[in-house]
Amino acid sequence: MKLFKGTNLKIGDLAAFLAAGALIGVLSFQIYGNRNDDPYLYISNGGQYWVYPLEEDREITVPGRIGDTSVKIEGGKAWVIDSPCPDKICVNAWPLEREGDWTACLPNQIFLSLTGGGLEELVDEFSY
Amino acid sequence: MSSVIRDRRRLTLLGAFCLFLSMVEFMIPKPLPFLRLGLANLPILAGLSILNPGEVMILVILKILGQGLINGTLFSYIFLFSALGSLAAGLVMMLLWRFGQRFFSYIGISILGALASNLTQLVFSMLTVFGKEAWLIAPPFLAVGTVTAILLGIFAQRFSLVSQWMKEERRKNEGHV
Repeated sequence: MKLFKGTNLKIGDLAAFLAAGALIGVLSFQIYGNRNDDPYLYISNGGQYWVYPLEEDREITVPGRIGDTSVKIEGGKAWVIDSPCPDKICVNAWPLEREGDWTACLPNQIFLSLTGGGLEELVDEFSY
Repeated sequence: MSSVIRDRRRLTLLGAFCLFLSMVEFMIPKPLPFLRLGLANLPILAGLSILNPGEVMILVILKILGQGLINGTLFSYIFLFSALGSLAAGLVMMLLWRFGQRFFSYIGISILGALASNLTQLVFSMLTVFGKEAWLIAPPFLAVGTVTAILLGIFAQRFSLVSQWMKEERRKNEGHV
């Protein structure tokens, strides 16, 4: 059941492409479509979580699976300054500054993201 | 096991390609954690037309172990991400090849395999490691996976048409029937 003459494309290929595109589109719209101007920094180490406002500059030490990950908040941005992982992808990643931005240190099991909503709302949300 | 494997040499060769492509992928810098090109899926995709379902799943296991060795994650929890994603992709691709060839070429099979792998890893990370905020990973993770899956599907399609080795292996299989 070829889609176009002279090609090997079939109808299911188009359906698979459209399904993937639709899923990516819907998720992108939900995440990036209505960004909050005052997001909070959410940090998780797989067992505990922390939430910090971005207005106040600070350095945070987060205990992870293989050691401590250091995170810096400065000028409304947050980024990983050091982590005990071998590849340092998290240290070299772009700073987080808008809601929906994220980074992670997989070996140390640390996840950082900027998330919207009020602090009380977030505390309720993560206190499940 | 030996009753599942029809041709040990063929499976070993494809397993070695998985290992080689895992190494190539390891050398490519990643801008974000989780992002993978999935190059090591190419031998599995290409092998669908010459391997039986049992051999495909053995090749998937070889690929998982090879990737774990190359990335140094064999004995870490990250290995579970790779294993679950690869098993989901292998199963989906094998079933689509077996029952959906009328509707799907290598390209569609590759896209749905990548989607199965990425969604499995995403759900696993949300449920067990990072919590529901991990869904933020989804758009770039799925987009990169889909684009590379299309390119790998096109390559596998072309390779299966022009490769003399593939033609010879398919002919050998027909001889077995």
